[in-house]
Amino acid sequence: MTQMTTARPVVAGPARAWRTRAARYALTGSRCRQCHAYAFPPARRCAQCDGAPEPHVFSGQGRIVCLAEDHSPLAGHGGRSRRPFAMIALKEGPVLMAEIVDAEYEELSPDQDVEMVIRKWRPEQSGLPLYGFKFRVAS
Amino acid sequence: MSRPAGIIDMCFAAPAGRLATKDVEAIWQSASAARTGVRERTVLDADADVITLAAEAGRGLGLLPGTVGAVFFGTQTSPYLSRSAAAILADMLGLAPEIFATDVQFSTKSGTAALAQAIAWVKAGLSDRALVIGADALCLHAAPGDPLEMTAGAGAVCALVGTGNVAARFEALGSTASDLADGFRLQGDDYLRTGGAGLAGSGLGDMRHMGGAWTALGDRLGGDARFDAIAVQQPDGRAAERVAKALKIDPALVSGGAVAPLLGDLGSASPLAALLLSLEGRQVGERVGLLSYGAGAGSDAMSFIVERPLDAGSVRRAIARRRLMDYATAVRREGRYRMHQHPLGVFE
Amino acid sequence: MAIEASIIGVGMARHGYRADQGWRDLIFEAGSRAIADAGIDRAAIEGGLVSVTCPEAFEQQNLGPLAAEELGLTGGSYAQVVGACAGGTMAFLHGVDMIRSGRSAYVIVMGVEKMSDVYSVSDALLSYPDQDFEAPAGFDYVDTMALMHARYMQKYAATAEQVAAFVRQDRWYAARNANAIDYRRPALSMDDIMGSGWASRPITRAECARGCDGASALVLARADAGHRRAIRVAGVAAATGPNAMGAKFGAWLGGEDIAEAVPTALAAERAYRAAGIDAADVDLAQVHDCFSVMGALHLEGLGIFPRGEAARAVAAGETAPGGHCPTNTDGGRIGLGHPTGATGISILCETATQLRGEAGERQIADARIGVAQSMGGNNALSAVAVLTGS
Ligand SMILES: [Zn+2]
Repeated sequence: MTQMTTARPVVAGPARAWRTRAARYALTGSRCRQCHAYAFPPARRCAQCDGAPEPHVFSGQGRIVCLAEDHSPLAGHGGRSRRPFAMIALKEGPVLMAEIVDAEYEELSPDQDVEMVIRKWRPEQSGLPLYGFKFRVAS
Repeated sequence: MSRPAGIIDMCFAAPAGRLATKDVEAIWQSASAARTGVRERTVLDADADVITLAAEAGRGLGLLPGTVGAVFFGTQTSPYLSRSAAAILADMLGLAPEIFATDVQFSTKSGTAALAQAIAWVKAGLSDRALVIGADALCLHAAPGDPLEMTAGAGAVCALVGTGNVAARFEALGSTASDLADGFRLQGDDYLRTGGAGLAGSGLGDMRHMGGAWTALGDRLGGDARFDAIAVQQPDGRAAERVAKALKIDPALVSGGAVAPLLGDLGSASPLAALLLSLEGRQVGERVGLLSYGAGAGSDAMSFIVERPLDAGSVRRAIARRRLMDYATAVRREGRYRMHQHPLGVFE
Repeated sequence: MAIEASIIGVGMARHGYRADQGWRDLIFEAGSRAIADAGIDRAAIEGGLVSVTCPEAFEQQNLGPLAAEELGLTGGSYAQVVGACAGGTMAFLHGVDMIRSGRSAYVIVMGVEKMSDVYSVSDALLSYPDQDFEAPAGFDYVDTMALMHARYMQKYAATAEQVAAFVRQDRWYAARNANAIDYRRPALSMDDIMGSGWASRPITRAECARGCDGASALVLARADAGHRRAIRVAGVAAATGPNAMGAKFGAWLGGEDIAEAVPTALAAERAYRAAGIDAADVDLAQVHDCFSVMGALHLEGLGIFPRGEAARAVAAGETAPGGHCPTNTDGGRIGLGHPTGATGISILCETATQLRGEAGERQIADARIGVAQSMGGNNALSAVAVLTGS
């Protein structure tokens, strides 16, 4: 409904975050053509063998490594007074940081299985909300 | 003779948040909760919109075949005035960029309108498969204190339509439309309005248009067509029953698709969610009807022949994923105040 | 014979919310004090660097020449340095190199911040965490470090109270430092800290650095220039690591992830080697406690306590005066305040002041070797300096 803007008074900026949408929308990371190492976010060069990676869409299945709970939402995230978030180890190996939805902190614990969902992140300077991955307890 | 086409699979998604109708009634002292037949309605999360709901439903269909050539996104509550929800969804589901994508809008019948267009699309051979969305977040557009606030929820259905391996073979369509202002939202206005209680109660909009579409469908099918289930638009928990009565349909045929009593008014997702429920556990060869209504006004009536039952587990899982919250929390979730957008709390 | 560098002048502008002062006022205050403390003619200063993290707060960039102009240092070589919260120490590192290379005889390095001019420190600093997949998902520093905190407790079986003990230590020192935001404030109880409300669980509000206004400055000279009260720069080094939180998993061979400050360990090893010391020789340390747990991580990175033991050691009083290694003797980011661009200089001001024996009621007895460390980003950058007194 209401337009979310960044806290710093800025002139509406250009749309630029669309470049990263493949990773945000579908967990598109990469896999090395040579040593098959996975990377998320996608690697431009393989950190293991310096080989050339190719895009790889991750399954979205993962496991909580450790947990925290945000009580101080930033601009654009005030809809939820507290929100759990975690380091999540994807089934394929790479680890990422993401919010956990449809659950409270007290209901979650390390080693729990989670699955990816798409939700809104904060808007970029253009005013457009960014859509991106969040996780919830695996169904 | 065009190719046989139909629905291959369907998946449903709705927010987990729930608000009890009686809580809304208590705030506004409106004393009409019982009449709605809605016990709870869905509350849209602050980080959700019809696109994220559609994405959840779309991802629920699993890996989509490469033959999907079109996305028809039916909604009247897209967050964008010009940006295409269908294009965003196509990208989210890995279908972009070689895809025909378009948003489809006709009030709460946007979903069935999208379905009709997708069936025409695949029958015309423009691609083997097409994706249909019926999604709405009416809760964001219900004025505080308006009766709609009690029932307006959010949800999405994603249907894969095609010409082979169909579960529900499309049989016929009957539609009506006319300029009748029984419900609308003006440019710049956040809230849906009705054309007045008199008009709403007259049946000139819903009953006349649905009746017309249903009759037209019957004419196409021939006089003796009988149905085994009918999925009906559910603006509230009693609407399907009222329609059945007005159209002289056996009420038992519409009851299997009930979603409004537990989830509220799902708008464009409502008739498609009812259709998914109605296609579960059916015998091959049975006939299932679909009857939608959109204010403004128009109705789509369709019939399908079951070739394989569908699993409506996604509806049951969405109903089970329930998090009840109070009115104040729902207001915060849905961002219903105009407010500062700097942080509400900071760590320093 | 290689040229060595010394600190000959120290100057600070009080850290805190200084609504009546602009950045020029603050940098003038700190810079003038440092020059006066050095006791040299300002015309002798040939160049310098200014660290800042959030100049958007006052909508001014290119602070190098502007600060020089303010201080009457025109004509030299000046530039702005950005290294997140380690920027001050990076300015110092490069200032030392200006001396060691023989390019300059006298150099001034400064840091400044006007955090009271931003709406929200966490939002203002959002351009420092990962801007592709972490910050836009709503995670600021307190959130990334909340996960480090959770991981540290999980991995090393430390308790929340042990981690929070860093705050009590900081308050004790800050109450005795006239430059600190918490000067003369009463001691904190564990209940005060744990009951202050969650900022980002498990981090309580009391466990957060106080983003604030402030400035600090150092005048550097060749060690052979023969200045009284000179403090020798025995070693200074910096190291980097991945900035994004997820990238830290699997980045190192030893199983380190977000519960270790690996860049600090790398930088410390280099700085100690240059100084010819090891961790056991350190008499006092300043570490980057932007949140309580980070103090523990960096103390372990510096090798002052074994891995996983720092929080317990702090809780046991090992960083108090008379303990194994008195730490954050100026009150740290939590008690002194955290003007982010100045912090990396402020820690060196404190170290030099202690080594000179001029720290008054918070003076650490017999302090001879001091280490100062600052971190930029989520352990993306760490800078470590070893200073020695005479
Ligand atoms: Zn490789």
